[in-house]
Amino acid sequence: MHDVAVIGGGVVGCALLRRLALHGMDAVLLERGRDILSGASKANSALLHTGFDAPPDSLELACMRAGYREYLDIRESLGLPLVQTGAVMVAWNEAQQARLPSLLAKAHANGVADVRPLDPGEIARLQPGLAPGALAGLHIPGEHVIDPWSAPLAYVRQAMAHGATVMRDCEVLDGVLEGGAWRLVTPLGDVQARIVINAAGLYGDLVEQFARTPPFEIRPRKGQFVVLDKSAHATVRTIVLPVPDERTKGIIVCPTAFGNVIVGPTAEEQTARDHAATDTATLEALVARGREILPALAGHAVTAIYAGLRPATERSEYRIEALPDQRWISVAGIRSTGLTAALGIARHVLDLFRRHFGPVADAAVPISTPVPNLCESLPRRWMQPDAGEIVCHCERVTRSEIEAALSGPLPAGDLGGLRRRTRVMLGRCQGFHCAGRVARLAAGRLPEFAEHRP
Amino acid sequence: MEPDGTLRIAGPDGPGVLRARAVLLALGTRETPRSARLVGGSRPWGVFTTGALQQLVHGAHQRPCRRAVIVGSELVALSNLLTFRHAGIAPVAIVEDRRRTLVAPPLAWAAGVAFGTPVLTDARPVAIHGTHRVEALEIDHRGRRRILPCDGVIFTGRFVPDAAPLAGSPITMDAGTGGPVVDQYGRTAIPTIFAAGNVLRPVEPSWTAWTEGRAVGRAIAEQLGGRLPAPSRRTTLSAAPPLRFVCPQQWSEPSPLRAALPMQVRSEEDVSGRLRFTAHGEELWGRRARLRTGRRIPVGVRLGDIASGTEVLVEVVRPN
Repeated sequence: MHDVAVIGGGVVGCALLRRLALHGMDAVLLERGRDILSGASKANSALLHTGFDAPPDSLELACMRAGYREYLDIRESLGLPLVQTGAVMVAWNEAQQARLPSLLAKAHANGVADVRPLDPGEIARLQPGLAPGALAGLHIPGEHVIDPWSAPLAYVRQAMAHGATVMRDCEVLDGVLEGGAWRLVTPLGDVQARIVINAAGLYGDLVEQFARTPPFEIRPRKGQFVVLDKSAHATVRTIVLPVPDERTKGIIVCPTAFGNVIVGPTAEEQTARDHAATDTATLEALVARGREILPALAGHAVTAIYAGLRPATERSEYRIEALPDQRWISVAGIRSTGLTAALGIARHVLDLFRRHFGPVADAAVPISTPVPNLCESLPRRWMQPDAGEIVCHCERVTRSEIEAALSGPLPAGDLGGLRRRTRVMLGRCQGFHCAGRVARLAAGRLPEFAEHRP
Repeated sequence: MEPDGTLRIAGPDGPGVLRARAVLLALGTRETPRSARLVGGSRPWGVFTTGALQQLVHGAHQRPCRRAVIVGSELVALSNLLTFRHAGIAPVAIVEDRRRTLVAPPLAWAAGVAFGTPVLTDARPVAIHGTHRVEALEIDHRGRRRILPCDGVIFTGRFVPDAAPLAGSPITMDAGTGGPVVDQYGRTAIPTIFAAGNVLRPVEPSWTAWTEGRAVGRAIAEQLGGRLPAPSRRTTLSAAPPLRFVCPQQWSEPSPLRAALPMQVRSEEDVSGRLRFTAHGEELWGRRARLRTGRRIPVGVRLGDIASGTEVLVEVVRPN
């Protein structure tokens, strides 16, 4: 019998597991995919947000602020990068310019005191090479770029160091509250837990049905991105934001921790939860939009394309609630801000736990479990004198990094997991050079390399 | 590469620095993968380039898919058919977005007969479907959507020089070839740095790359021996659309050593007319030519001791 079962191994589930384990609870994470981050958390814009434009006085803002602070506090002990890019919001027309003062006031009201207005000259200094026509802007120095995959991996590995269990390929098929505890039915057998936390993301409303008629409905909102070649990286110094409107935060251009540039996301409603498709016309439009904003992006090839799904609900706010009678906590509707907010959400959920389910032990001194660095601006494995064989030359991934990612306490569960842990096959050639070598190293350990030729 | 031609390298012993009196860039080429072609859909396992597939099959003894569609009809598409046969993969179709296959039609026809593979022209991949594995390729075939059920999609050809290490270096690049600008001896903008083979342009068979390597190697030996005049007087050649490139793109003062790189021209589209090299409006060389998309047209132009700094325009003049 576990103290708590967390359903969903996205960034929120990983952060929850860490928080619970730090407080001495016997926690188990149940993830339906072959690896953590198989759903919404595998594809986002990889930004650490200040919350400057979050809804004032909202739970979302509180969780973002707390998550932001905690990320900065723990990142060094977990080996997590922080690329201090800041962000520049650019108004390209008078209607957008007219919205800047209220955005500035909102930022200050949200506690992000260092946001300040910019004139066109200052914009050009912060991001040289922008298209002409910027009328005014805002500088948000605290917006930063992080590694969206290593962070949750580090959370979950720290949780495991503190005794938590992770079960993958483990979809919860049914859940029954009997005798004061939950029995969760999974393909790997029944899992018993005193309390269940629903962090099932895109499947949140389906999982919620085990506890009650869901008061929310997941309405996946898709965002498509293009990733430009590393050659484009030097031209993008900061996160370039448009002025948001009611519906979307708009198309951004920003550097990634891995030394690329991304342009996106779109915001498209869809019903399917399990696939996020790109389409050529939209991708072409993103490439064109990137060049419109920053003409120097022309001529840089596209390295990768992807689409992510935000687990939005019919309402815009987070849907976090404890159900004491059901011994259940819902953590739903965590939209695009989840990567930033996850650590804060975990603290908030711990408070709910304390309030509704009794006392909680103080946090233990965290065991330091650093993850390997993948950030281009920090020392990487290939830079060390004992680097050994380099398997993927586009992303400079060594054999030792691949072998490490295939072993240890939470080895990659599929090729996607290996890519997220190492960057292998994610570069400009997309495996043209290294696919065979990777297959030889991973044969028998990843489902993709299971079939030998006759 | 540093501005002075110093090479920063990475190997099993970590990063290092190399300086040499001459460097030959033989970086080669690679295919354009699905992502750079902006083919939409989901991202399941089973989408490869020829290079990746052949390594998986021959290097890792894998059968990564059982029924696959081949996208593209360059020569390398046929190489896939052989790999398929070796690995026990059934070819579903060859899909080419142009109106004609890029290999000579009899070869495509042979593919159909020998391998029983339908060759669909004017057929553009639209989306890849599937969750964990590829389940189908959706194509636009002559304006109509079709679903080709398969568990593999191989993106073949559309080779690009693998010139990424040159980004940010002082070596001048040619947008038409995707490779470095070189003179007839393979010299780049840094005269001690030479280039040969498929880093120069898409794409030649391996024996041509080998021949170029030998010839540019000789030029390096001549230069190291002080017998190749410094490339101080360079003539620049540029190709006008629909020509995609002329290579080499520069002509230096000749020496007794023959040009290491035979001059060639390639076109973006099928076009017929008079292929001509002109300088100051005067024709230096010309002949009637029928250019097929992507195919090499050898050029017999002798630029000899053309005055340095001359701009040579290469164009196709279509008959009225």
